[in-house]
Amino acid sequence: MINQVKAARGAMMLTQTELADKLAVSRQTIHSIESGKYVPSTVLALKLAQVLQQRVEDLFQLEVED
Amino acid sequence: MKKLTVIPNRYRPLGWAIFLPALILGLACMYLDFSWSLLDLKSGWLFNLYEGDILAGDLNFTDELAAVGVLVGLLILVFSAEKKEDEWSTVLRLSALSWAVWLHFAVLLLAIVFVHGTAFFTVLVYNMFTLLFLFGLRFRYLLWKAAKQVEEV
Repeated sequence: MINQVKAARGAMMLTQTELADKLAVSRQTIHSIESGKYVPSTVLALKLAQVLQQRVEDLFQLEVED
Repeated sequence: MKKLTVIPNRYRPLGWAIFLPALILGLACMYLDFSWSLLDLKSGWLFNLYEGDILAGDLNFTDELAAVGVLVGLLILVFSAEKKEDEWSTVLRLSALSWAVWLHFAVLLLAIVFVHGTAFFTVLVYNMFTLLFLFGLRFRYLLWKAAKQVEEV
């Protein structure tokens, strides 16, 4: 799974901490999602899309091996 | 992801306050033969599940108190929430628990095969606590590693 969270966050001029606060998660959670170490739950993915004003399928895409 | 049931973070100091004295008491019982005369129980005070009857014969309750304290303290420590408990910490928690279960039972299996006699009894005593202990250590390590990676960015 690849994601565009870092780019979308940058476009919104948000720091990791600010995004984490908006989603009520830790900064580590945002970092682990952005670095591809962690695939968030559907609920968190939908919240991310809402805050970053993107569609979920634009934020997260499947890779061939998924 | 649904969060795990955890104890509120504010109870963590209570966990330390129970765990540390109980650990010291337990080690004193094991290696210095320490016992509190205050905890001497006379015959007929305690129910013995194994015998299915009231315990006949005197008993000192110091080591039981230490074991209960260590277990309760550890349970509070390892299952108290982080300041920001979220689904990532839940994933780390489950990963640490799985790692601890594998290691705990690997050690037990090795001990069953290679440790015999009274030494095996000592292994069993420690084995009562190692699962929670390993789980707590591994979870702390994973949190530390995650925090360090964020700092490096």
